[in-house]
Amino acid sequence: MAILTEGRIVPLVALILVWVAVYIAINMGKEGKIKVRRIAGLDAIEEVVGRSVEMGRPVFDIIGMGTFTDSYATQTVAGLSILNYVAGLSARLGADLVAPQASVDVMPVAIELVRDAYNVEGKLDELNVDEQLPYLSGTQFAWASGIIGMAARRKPAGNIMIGPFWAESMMFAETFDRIGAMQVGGTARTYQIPFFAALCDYCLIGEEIFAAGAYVSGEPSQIGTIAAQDWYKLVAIALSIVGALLSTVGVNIIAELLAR
Amino acid sequence: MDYKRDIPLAITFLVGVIAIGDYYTGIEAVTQTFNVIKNWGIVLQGFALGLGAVNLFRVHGRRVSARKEGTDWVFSAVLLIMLAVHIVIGLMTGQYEQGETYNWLYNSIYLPISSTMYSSLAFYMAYGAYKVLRARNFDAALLFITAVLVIIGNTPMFPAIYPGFFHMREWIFGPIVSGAYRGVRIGIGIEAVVLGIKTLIGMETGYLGRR
Amino acid sequence: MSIWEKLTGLPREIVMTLVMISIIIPALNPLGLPLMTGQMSQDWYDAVDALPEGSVILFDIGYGSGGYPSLGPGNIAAFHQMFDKDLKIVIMATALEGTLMYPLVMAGVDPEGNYGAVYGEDYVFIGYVAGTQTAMAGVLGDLHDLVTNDYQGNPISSMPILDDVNGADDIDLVAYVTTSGDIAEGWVYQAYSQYSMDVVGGTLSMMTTSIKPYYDSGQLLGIMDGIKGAADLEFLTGHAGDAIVSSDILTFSQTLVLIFIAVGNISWFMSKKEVKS
Repeated sequence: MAILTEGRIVPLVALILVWVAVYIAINMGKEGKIKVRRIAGLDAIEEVVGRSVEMGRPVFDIIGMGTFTDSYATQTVAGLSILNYVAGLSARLGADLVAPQASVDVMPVAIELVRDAYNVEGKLDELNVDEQLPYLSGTQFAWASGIIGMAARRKPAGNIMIGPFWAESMMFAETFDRIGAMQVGGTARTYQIPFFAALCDYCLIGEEIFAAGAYVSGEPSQIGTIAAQDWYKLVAIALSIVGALLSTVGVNIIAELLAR
Repeated sequence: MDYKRDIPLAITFLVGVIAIGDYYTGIEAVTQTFNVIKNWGIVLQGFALGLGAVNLFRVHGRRVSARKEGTDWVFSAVLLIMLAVHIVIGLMTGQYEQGETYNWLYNSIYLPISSTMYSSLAFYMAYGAYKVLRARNFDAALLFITAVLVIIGNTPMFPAIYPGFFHMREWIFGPIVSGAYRGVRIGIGIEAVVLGIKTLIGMETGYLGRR
Repeated sequence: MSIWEKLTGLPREIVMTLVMISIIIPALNPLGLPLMTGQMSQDWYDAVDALPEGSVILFDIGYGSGGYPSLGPGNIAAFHQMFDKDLKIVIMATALEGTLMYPLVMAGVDPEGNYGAVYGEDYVFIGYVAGTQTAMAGVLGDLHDLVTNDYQGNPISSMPILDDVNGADDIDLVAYVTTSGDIAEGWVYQAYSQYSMDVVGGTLSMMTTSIKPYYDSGQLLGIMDGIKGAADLEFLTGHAGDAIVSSDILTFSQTLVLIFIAVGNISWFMSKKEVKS
């Protein structure tokens, strides 16, 4: 009986190399050797909060319906990083932040992050958790209906939606667009990216939401891991180009190698 | 040593290594251990459902007892009543097939409401298409042309009249859309691997409830 | 405000009302407009058709009430084909509401009445298995270890259909119908990547673009894409139902959307021209 499963040897080697790359990148990040470019959608978040303050209307931050135990936990964590950032901006600028919650295990973390952000700005007494981070429902369309209703009644000037979204993404984007809110949308759920791209003023696509989370957290080690991802994307691009060219002339060495 | 942080991190690392071992190696002991862990995972998921129900009672019960102006506490009361009715009738009348009352509750109330919400997407999409698909600039024109060709290919009648519409749609879905999605999926997949590594080495602790 | 400016900014109430009318008319009076079956649905049909009598299919009902109008008819058509071919169907649900969809679907199929099928011998419903990919891995790894009773509480050891079905090696085809991307991709990862099994999937139309790469690479043998795919399956299996009626609705409503897009663009260009002049 072979120790290693056939067909998974090259992926195991790739995994080990990713691990090594992450360690190298973390160390490089801690030494300040890695910089992440600004993303237009990220700059726009400050503009969204500022607009809400000027217009005297709330700003919504929706982090999606994900939990920490499903396969979209990574997007939920990215959304929470942005929520922390937006909460800090809102506290500093005096914006009325509303962040409705859908997940029972994420909500306490979200509350803690928002409290931290307000506390750092010395505005903890201005935070009303029950009003600003209400738990609506864990059921998709009950939650969606709740947010659409809140938006229609409170008419926010800005909406930031970063996290995992399902079919409700189209409803949110269209409703907030109709109200006249400035929108920044981002998700790594490929099914919903087109709706955000079509209707939001700024859209973060795919892994940009993870990069934005690392950037706003400011932790050098987090930024370092973004570099590790980019290195691997370069490897994937190189393999794709070389493999496609070789396959075109009938040489399938890359495909055979990756299948080992 | 911070036990509250280090013990969960150690458990995460151990389970992660077993999962990796199960996928990449053919060691029987590892496979059997992971099968047991997978079954535990299924049991835990079941408990999460109960936790959600408890939280609903707690949050909405607090809202109803406070009855503050502008908190829509009436809707919270309706939610709690319907939740209680469904639980009681479901438990009293056994499983769905045999419970006619529960059957009626589900088919008459929940099914139409849920289907309606999902179906309302059609209206949102129609209005969104009208507003967004305008050839204002080069990028918008590309989006407009592609979307129109795909909508024509998707409409059942048009390809039946001229099959070329369907083949055009398939071509757009094939090299263009699939290629673009593969690029996005590769990026997301790489990020998922890196985040998994960050979780295993204890860099990512958001799931523990702290940054 | 000129006519072009008015047409550029039609209120949503008018647009949505007209869409509603375009849906109601064919719903009340089906016209039987022509439709062309797609290759993805044809491949689903062919994948099932190629199975010899007595083959075992693992079928996942991965949708709930929200997806039933779109996917329910296709699910029914798929079951009609499977029962018609005397295939053995092990039905499970990875969506919580899948257990509530099962009786609705079975009422539309009526396997005992239409095909003389016997529960426990020709088909079985093992109920909801929590955990999505964990559930899939568990069912394909060791079914009898994971599940001891069927949905109605009967021990599966008393079910002849499951006597020789322990896991992936004993299943000839995995089929799923779902509104969840997690479930759609999960089966590709768990069934195809782990065990190289044949897989066919049914999803909502808007998910097709994301699932299609798996079909193009051969990881999915066929896709039933939304109500259009359901109509195709109904046509191919010869069991006309709600989906074929819905294809008329789809034709009407999508044609109206195209008209709105055209009106929006023409009015936008004309109003710009007016401003310039």
